[in-house]
Amino acid sequence: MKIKVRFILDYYKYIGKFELNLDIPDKFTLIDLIDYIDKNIKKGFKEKLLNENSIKYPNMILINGRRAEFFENLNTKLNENDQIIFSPLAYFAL
Amino acid sequence: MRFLEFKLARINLSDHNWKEVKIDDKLLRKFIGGRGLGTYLALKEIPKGIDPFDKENKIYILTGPLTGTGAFETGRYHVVGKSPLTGFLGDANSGGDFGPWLRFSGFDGLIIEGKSDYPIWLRIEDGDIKFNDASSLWGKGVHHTEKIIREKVKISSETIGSILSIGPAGENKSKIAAIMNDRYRAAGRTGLGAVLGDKKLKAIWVYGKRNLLKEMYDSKKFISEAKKLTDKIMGNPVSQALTQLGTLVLMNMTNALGGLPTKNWTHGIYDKAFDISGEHLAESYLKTRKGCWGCTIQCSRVTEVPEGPYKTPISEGPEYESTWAHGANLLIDDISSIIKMNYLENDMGFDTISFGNTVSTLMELYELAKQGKLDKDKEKELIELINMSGIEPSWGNKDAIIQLIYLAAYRNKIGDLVAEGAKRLAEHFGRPDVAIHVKGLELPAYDPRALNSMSLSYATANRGGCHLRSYSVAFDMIGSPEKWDPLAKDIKKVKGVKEQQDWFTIVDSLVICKFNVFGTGPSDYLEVLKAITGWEDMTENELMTTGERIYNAERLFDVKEGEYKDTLPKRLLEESLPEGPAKGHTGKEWLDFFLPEYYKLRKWDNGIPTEEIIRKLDLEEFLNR
Ligand code: SF4
Repeated sequence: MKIKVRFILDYYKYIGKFELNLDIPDKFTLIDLIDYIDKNIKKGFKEKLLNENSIKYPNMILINGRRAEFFENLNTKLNENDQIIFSPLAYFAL
Repeated sequence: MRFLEFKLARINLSDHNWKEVKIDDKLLRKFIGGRGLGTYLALKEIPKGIDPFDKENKIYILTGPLTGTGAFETGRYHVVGKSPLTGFLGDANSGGDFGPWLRFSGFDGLIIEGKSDYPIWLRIEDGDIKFNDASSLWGKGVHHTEKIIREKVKISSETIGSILSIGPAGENKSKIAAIMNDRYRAAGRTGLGAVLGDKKLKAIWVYGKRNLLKEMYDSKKFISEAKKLTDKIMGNPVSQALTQLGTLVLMNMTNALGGLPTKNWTHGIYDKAFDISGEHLAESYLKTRKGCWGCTIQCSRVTEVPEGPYKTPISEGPEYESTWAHGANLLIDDISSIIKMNYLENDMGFDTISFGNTVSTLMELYELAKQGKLDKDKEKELIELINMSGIEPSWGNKDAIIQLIYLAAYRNKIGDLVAEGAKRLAEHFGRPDVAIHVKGLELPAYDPRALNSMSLSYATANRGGCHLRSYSVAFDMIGSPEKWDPLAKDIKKVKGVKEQQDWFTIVDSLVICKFNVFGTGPSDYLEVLKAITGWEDMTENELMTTGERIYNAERLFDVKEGEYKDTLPKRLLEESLPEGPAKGHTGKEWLDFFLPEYYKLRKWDNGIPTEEIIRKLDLEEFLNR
C-alpha cells in the first residue's frame, strides 16, 4: 500500500528529504515503518527516534495529523494513503 | 539596599514640557510594571468612552523591574493605550534594544500625552528630554528615520542607544499601525502606532549610562540567581531548538495538524506549506541569526534576497506569524516575496499579522465582487477603487500586495480602506463575516477549530484576537508543559488557559520574553525579583494573584467601552474545517463547552468581573469607573 512520510525540522536535515512516497506491505504498523526506514533509507533512524519501545523525548510522530499516542502508539496499524510525520518537539512560534 | 522605585517621565506634547513621576514600591508590588502598570495608569487617567484620537488618550511606554537587568531575555518593553483598532484597551510588546536603553537613559517608562501642532522627535539622554522638530522626518520610512536620527545624535553603531519610531502608516493613522523600534522590532498589535501619529510623535531616541545593578536591593543575590535561571533555560532542549530554527519552526507542524489558516481561514491545510517553512528558509535566504538585547537564544532570523524581483537587503525576519499571514493566508508560496513584504511593512510601520489578514479580507471581497455576490453598489465601489489603484488583488498575487503596502501606508485609493483593518474593511462592503477578528483585532496563525483550547484563548483574550494572552497551542500541539489532545473536550483545559493568562500577564509586567517561560514558571523568577525589589516575603501565590488582578483590571477598562463580547468570528464559530484531522469541527462546538466553565472559574458574570472578584483582587477603586 502507498503512504506518504514527511520529515520536519531536525529530521528534514537528517534524512535530506521533506517527503517520501513509500509502497509498504499491508498490515504494517508504525514500528514496522520505523524499522523499514531504518533498514532501507537511513541507518540509525530508529535509535534516534526511540528509546527501547517508546518515543524518545523530544520527538513527536503524527499519523494523519494526530499524535501516535492518541492511537495505539507504535503499534498503530497503518492504512493506504496515510500521512506520517516525524518531528522533534519545538514549540516556539509565538 | 533600597526598595524598588520607578521613575517615569510625563511628556506633554501639547506644550512640549515634561516632568518626572515617581511610582512607589507599594503600587509596583500591586501591578509590577510593564503591562500591569500601564493598565493601572490607563484606568486612572484615560477618561471613559473617549475617542482613541482624543488628546486625552495616552500612550504608556513601560519597562518592568527585570528589563535591562540581564536576568535572562530582558530586552523587551510594553506599550499600553486606548486602541483605535478595537476601541478597547490596547497593548503591545516589543523586543530589540529599546527597553533596556530606555532604562539606561534614566527613565523606567514614558507617559505620552497631549498632541503636538507639528511633528516632534524626542532625544532622551541621561535623565533629560529634549523636544526636536521632526517635520523633515515626517513621511519617511522607519529605516530612513533611524538613519537620520543616528546621524543627528552622532552614534552610528546600532548596538549603542536605541530608536523607537512610527512609519507613514502611523503618521496617517492607519488603525493597524505598529510602533517600531530598532528597525525590525514591532509593538505591533492593536494599532497604537496610529495614536503616536495622531499626537505627531515621530520618534524617540534613548541613550544613557545608568547602572541598574547599583539600584538593586541585593545585587550579589541577583547575580547568583540570574545565573541559575540562565542555566535552567539554556538546558531546556526547546531553547536549543529555537536557537537553531527560529520562530518558523511551526509551519509544517501546524499544517500537519490541519490548523494552518489558509485562504482567509477557509481551509486548515496549505499544500505548499513547506515552501514557506523554516526548513526551506534555512536552505534559501537565511544569512544568520540575531537576538534582542542580552539574549543568548537569538531567535530572530537575518535574511537577504540578493537578486530578482523581490531583492531585499539584509534584514531581520520574517517571523512565523508574518510568514503565515502573507503565505498560506494569501496563497503565496514564494518566500522571497514574503521577505520583501515583511521588510516593506516594517519600513511603513504596519502590524504584519493585521496587514496580512486585512489583505486576505480584501482578496475574498474582490472574489465575491467578481462573482456578483456583493450588493450592487458595494460591488461597483470596490471594483472602481481597485481599478483606480491599478492592482489585481486576487489570491496569490504577490505584486498586488507589495503595491498595497504603500497604498495603505499613505491611505491612497483602496489603501485608505485597507488602512482601517479587516473588520472595518469588511463592514464597509457589507460583508462583516469575511473579516476574521475577535473584538476587532485580527487573528494570528492557529485555527482554533483544529487546536481547540485556542477557541477559549482567542475569545477571552482581553485585547482581542491574540495568541499571547494564553499560548495554549503549547499544550495542544506540542504537549508542553502538559500533553493535551487538541480535539478533546477536556474541561481541565479551562484552568490551563486561565492560569496561563494570569502568568503571561506577569511575564508582560516583569517585562521578560515569553519564549523562556515554557521551561520555567513563577517560582523560577521569584528570587531574581526579590533580589531586585526587596520584596522578601513575596510568594508564588502572590505573583499569580497579581497576574489575575491585572487581567481583571484590563477587563474593567474594556467592559465600560462598548459592546465587548467573548466570542469567535462567525466563520470559525459556524463553518467547519473541510479537511484534515479536524475535519467537521466548528469553533462553536468547542467554545460552548469551555466558556461557561471559564466564567465560573474567573468569577465573571457573562464576561464581566463580579463585585466579589473585584474586591478580592483589591480593585475596588475601579468599581465605578
Ligand atoms: S528569544 Fe527571541 S524574542 Fe525572546 S528575547 Fe531572545 S531574541 Fe528576543
